[in-house]
Amino acid sequence: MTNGKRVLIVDDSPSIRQQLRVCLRGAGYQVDEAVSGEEGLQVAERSPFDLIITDVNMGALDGLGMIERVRRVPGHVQTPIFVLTTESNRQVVSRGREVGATAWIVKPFKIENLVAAVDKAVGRTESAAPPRQ
Amino acid sequence: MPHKDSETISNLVDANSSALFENYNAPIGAATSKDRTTTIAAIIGYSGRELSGSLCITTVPEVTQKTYGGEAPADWLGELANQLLGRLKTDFAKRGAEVYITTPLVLKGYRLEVCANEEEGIESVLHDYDSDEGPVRVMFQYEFKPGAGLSPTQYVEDSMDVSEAILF
Repeated sequence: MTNGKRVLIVDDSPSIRQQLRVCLRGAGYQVDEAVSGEEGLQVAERSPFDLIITDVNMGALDGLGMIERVRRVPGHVQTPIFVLTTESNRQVVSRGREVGATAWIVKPFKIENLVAAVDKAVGRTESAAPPRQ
Repeated sequence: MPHKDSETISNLVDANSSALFENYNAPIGAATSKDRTTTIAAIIGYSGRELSGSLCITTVPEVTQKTYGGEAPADWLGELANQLLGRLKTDFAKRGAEVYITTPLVLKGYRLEVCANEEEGIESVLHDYDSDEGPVRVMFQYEFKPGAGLSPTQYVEDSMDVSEAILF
């Protein structure tokens, strides 16, 4: 049974995609996946999503480059975009904010906290910023 | 002669390795078992103005399964190496040394044993651990640029912490 909300996961790591897919589907989300920034952009251009989760370091078009271009896609100007990464440099984090990321989460993450943050961002709960874990 | 920061780096590798495996429900302690056979390895490189090198984790599938919480995809150990190096990267940044991380590579074999590289100028930290599921070896190799080193105190607050989350 889905909740009617769609999440796009963009990550070049199969294990991270699998972790997120299993947990978000378990929480009722419909999940689509992309393995690179290029593919993530293409998928986002074709379909509406309620939220996007992306890694940063991913080949030619990285996560921040993808966010910058996704923000120009009609329909994704306001879409919440979470960055989930080992990247912790505040200059890179600031760039993420500039290009339009909604939240920045440094791995490792607790999946239940991430799902709670996704719930909040797509309007399924009253409140809850991505909590410090 | 070891670099002046060799002890600091060894301690950081040890502390972050322990914290990472603890975080994934597979606590590790100093190795006591005789069987050190490992069959899966993840290698990841890094480079920066002050230092460059690589990190390698070798272990057995039982450990990767425990940390993943089930049958682990082939790349999972690479993700763990990425996260361990991400932790070290944060610690180095707090000591004034910025490094950039490459994509991890995962290898499987029958008997994988990494050892220290003894080329001049290259230093290696090697920690052997045991978890309930089997052995873990973490090797961190580094080479400082001439005259470079870590700042003695954590005066640079230029990084988020591990597991920190920010809502913009």
